[in-house]
Amino acid sequence: MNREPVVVDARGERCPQPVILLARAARAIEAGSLVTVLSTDPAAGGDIAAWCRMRGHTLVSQSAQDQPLAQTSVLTSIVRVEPIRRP
Amino acid sequence: MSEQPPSTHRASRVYLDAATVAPPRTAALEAFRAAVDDGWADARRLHHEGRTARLLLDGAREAVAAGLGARTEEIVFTGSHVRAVHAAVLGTALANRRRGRTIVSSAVEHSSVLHATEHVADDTALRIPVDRTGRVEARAMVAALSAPGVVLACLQHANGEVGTLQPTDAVHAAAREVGVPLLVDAAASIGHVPAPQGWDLLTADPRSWGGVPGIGLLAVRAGTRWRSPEPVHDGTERVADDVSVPAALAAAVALEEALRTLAPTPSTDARFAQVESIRRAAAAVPDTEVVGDPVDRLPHLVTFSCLYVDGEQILERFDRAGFAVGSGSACTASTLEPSHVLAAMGVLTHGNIRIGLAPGTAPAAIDAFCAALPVAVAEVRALLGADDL
Repeated sequence: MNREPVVVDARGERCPQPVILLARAARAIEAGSLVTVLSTDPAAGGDIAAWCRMRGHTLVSQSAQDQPLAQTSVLTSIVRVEPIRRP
Repeated sequence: MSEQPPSTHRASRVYLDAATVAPPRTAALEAFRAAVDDGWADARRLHHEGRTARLLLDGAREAVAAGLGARTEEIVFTGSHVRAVHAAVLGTALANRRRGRTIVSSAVEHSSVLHATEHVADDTALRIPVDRTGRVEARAMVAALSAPGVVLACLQHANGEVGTLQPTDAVHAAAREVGVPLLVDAAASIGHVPAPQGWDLLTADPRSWGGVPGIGLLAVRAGTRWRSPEPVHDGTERVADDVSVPAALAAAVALEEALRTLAPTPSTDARFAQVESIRRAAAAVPDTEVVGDPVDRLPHLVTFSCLYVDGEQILERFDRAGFAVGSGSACTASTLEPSHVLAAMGVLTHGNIRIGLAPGTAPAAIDAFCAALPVAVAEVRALLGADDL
C-alpha cells in the first residue's frame, strides 16, 4: 500500500486525458492503493466511473465543488486500484 | 418507381451517420423538384396556383397519416423536428396549465424534448432513469406519471443514439388509466420499424427516413388537450409555420417508399445483421464498450466507446479515410457536453463512435469500416501516448 496519497491533477484537461492520466498512475502503484483525481471536464466524472467498471477498479467516491470565481466545478474522484484481472 | 443506388457511396465516400439525417431518397428528391415547379404558391389562395399547392399539401398530409396509422386531421407539418417537439410539449402544457406543471420524461429523450420540458418548468421536470442498455425503467415511469400535477409524459419509441426500443405501448396504457397524455418521439424509428400504436402525441423527423430538410412532423390524436403555444394567424392551420409544400411532398413520398420496403421485424431488416458485424468488430477492439440492447433494438444503429481515444480525432481520421460517422463524445458536440444518453446509461462517453446505416448500404462498405476500425483506434491511442495502457 502506498503511503503518499497519489493525486492526479487533471484540472483543465479535456477528455480523454483525465482517464489516460488516471490509467497511467494506476499502473504505477500497488493494488489496494488509492488514487485521487481532480477534474473539470464535464465528461470526466462519468468516464472515470466507466473506466473503473471496464478495468475492474473501484470508484470509492465522487464529489463536486463549485469554484464560482473560476466559473467551473472541480470533481474529486477517489479510485481504489484493484489487482489486474487475468483474462 | 425504380430505386437507384443510394447516395451513401457518392464519389467513394461512405456515409454511416444516417441515424438522424439519412441521404434523401431519389424518389423524394424527384418529388421535391417537381413540387418546387408546381407547388410554390400559397396554399391558402383560391386561384389555380394556390389550389395546386393546396392539393399537393393535403395529399402529402393524407399519405403521411395513412403511413402512421393516424387520421389526416391529426397530422401537423412543422418547419423541423425540433419545432414539432416544442409544439407538442409546450402546447400540451399550455392546454393543461390549470391541472399542473409536471412533465415526466425518460432520461434519454432527444435533447429538444428535455429542453422543452425545462422551458415549461425546470423545477418540476422529472427524469426517469434508464438501465445500462438505455431502456427506461417502466415501473418507475408509471409511478411518476401517476402522481398529481402531471400533465404530460414523454417516452421515445426507440433511442436514436443506441437503438434500444422503449416500452411505449405499456407506458401509454398506464398513462391512459390516469388521464396523462403520452408524447412518443419517433424521430429515430419511423420508416425503420413499424410505427408505434400507443401515443397521444407523436413527433418525427422526415430526414431520418430519407426526406429532405426543412420539415418536421407532429401528430395530435383527436381528443387530446392541446393548444398551439404560438399565435396562429389562420383558422385553418394548427401551428404558426408556413410549411414547405415541396418538403412535405418529399417526406410523404420517402415515407411511402420506406414503408413499402419495411421489414416485418427489426431482425429481418438486412441492416440488422450488418450492425451485428459492426458490434462484433467493435467488441474485438481492446477496451471498447459496445452499448445498447443487442437484440431489442432498431435494425440500423450502433454506438460504441473506446477507452483512451479522443472522439474528435477519430472522427477526423475516419472522415479523411472517406467514412462519415457520428459521435456522442463531448469534444465533438457543439455544446462540449457529452451525450446525455450515454451519461444516463453510465457508459463511457469519450472515444464514442455512432453508426447509422441507410438502407442499401453495401456489404463492402461495412467490411471496409470494420477493417479500418481497429487500425484507427490504435493510431489515435498511439498519438495520445496511450497505446501501452
